[in-house]
Parts: sequence; structure tokens; C-alpha cells
Amino acid sequence: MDLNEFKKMWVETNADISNRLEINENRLNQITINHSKNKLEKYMNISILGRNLALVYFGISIFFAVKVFDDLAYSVPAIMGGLAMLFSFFQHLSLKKVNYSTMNIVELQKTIENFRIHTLKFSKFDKGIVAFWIITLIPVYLKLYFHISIYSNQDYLLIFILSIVSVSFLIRLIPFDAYKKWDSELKEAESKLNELIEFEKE
Amino acid sequence: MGCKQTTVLNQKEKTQKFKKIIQENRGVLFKVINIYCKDEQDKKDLEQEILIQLWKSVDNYDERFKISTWIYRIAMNVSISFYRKNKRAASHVSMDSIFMEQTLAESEDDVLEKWQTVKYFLNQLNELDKAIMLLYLDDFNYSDIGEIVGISTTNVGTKINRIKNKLKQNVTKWI
Repeated sequence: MDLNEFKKMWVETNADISNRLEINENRLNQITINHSKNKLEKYMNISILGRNLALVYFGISIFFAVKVFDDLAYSVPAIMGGLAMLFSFFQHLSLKKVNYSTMNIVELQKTIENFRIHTLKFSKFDKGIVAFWIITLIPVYLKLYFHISIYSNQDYLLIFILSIVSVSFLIRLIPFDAYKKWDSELKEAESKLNELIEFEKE
Repeated sequence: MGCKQTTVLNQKEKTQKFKKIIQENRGVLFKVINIYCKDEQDKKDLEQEILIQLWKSVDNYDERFKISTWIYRIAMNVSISFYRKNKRAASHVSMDSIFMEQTLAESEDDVLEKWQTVKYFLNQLNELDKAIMLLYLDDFNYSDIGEIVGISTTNVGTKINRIKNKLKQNVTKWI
């Protein structure tokens, strides 16, 4: 059997398929009523929202830093936390939404794999930035709204440091192998991206 | 109030247009879903994802282009993305399919056998070659195939030749 015979077979079955198929109108109505999004889009939208929120967090840090500007022990870390968020925003600037109706297959798959690689690569890093941002903001917040000056009181400072250490320790204790999972998923996404590049070249 | 009425009318028009497109291209959707998925539940999940995407894209459909090109592009883009997720994220929520298949009469066994043969051979290909083959079998020219897949026309020719050889080899093995 060659390709022409195969094609002939395809044409014959095609006509038959269309004749035998009927559309379930009720099910179709449900699709038009529910304004649902597919899973990938949801995931991408969350990531893009997260990236844009980094800009908001940067603004919050600067706002707090300005409030305690003269007290460098508080304002400098707050500015650093804000800059870390700004850095994170620019790191994720390349994230773009997929468009199933205008992108060709290779372009869309490359965008998806690049998105996966990007989010997996930065997931550990992003968690660190969020933790750093929180640590830089807590002292300013306590000073402004509860009049607790952590850096002027040894006991408060000790409690603050111990809290950070305990939380870090607890996070370490949780038995999940998220990092290993991320690494294997990252390798998988990279190999799929390479497949696509090879496919384009061949 | 007037504005609200216009929106409702547009929604009605959109729904009618969408239903007409699905009705007229049901064969394309059925083929793509069945070629990219084997498991019945996965088929329903994929069908749902394709329909959602088509529904969302109906407004942007440019009528200067062939509807089949537009449908194929969306259906295959969603299918390959779904296929590459390795079924991990499949919802497995029970739902009905939009397709109601009439059962074949005994005299039509031959048609079913042909369809199974076609599916068998297409399943030997990777997801991107499958896309090229589906378009080729549905009489798209090399330039259109290249545009939908995202490769050059020459590259399409090369790949179709390779698939032809693969098909010959498989038939020899099969026989």
C-alpha cells in the first residue's frame, strides 16, 4: 500500500464519518454558556498576574521605605526588597500568552515549552525573593503600625531572627521533593524544546 | 439599556455562528480528537478544550481565510499541547461528548476496518508528523501545511517523503 491508496482510504472513511456523526446540541450549549478557560491558559494567566504583582510589591516597598527614609536600618532593606521584586518583574517580562488561533503549531509549542522552562527555572528563585521581601518589610511594618523597633531592642531582634530561622527550618523539614520534581520537569521541557528545534531544522 | 441589548444580540449571533461551524466541521474535529487520543475520557477532555478554544476564537475568525484551515490550526494546536502534557492534568470529570455516533450496520464493517487501519498507521507517527499527515490527507497544499505547522514548504515535502517511506516499511512489517 502506498500513500495514494492510503489517501483514498482516508477519503472514503471521511465521508462516512461525517454522515454518521450528529452533534449533541445540549452539550454544545453548555460550552457556549460556561465561559471556561483551559488549564494551560489558567496557569499562564496566574504566572503573568504574579509577574505584574511584583511591580505592586515593589511599589509597597518603596512606599514603606519613604515613610522611614531617615532610619537607614529600616529603609535600606525595604528598598533592597523592592528592588528584588523589580528585578523579578523584569526577569518574567518575556512571559507571553499563547494564541491557539493565530500561532502556528511549532511556534505555539515552543512558546509553551519556553514558558515551562522559564517558570521551572525561576520557581526556586522566586520563592527566595518573596521570602526576602517579607523579611525586609516586617520590621518597617512593625515600626510604623505597632511602634516596635526591632533593631533597637535586642529581645525583639532575637525573636525576629529566631522566627525566621524556625520558619526556614520548618520549610526544610516538610518532606516533599518539589525540587527534584521541578528539575525533572525542567529537563523534560528542555528536551521537548530541543525536539521542536530539531523538527524545524530537518 | 440599548447597549445591553446589542451585547445580547451579538452573543446570539456568536452562538449561531459557532454552532454552524461545529456542525459543518464535525468530521474534522472528530478525526483530530480520535487521532490524538486513545482513551475515551481523554477524548472528552480534549474535545472540551478544543471547543472552548474555538468558542473563544470565533470573534476573531477572519472570513477571508478558509474555515477548515482555522479549525485545523486550533484543533491541532490544542491537541498537541494536550498530548504533550502526558495526560497528567486531565480532569477526568464526567461529561457528555458533543458527538453522537450512529452505530454501523454489519454491511459497513469494511468502513470501520478502513478507519482502524488509518488510525493504526497515523498512530505510528509522532505528534508533529501526525499533524502534517492529517493536513496532507485532507488535501491541503504544501504551502498551507507549512503555514499551519510552522515550517517551510520544502521541509513539508521532505517530511512527507519520509512519512511515505515509513508507511511502506510499516506495511511490509504488518503484512
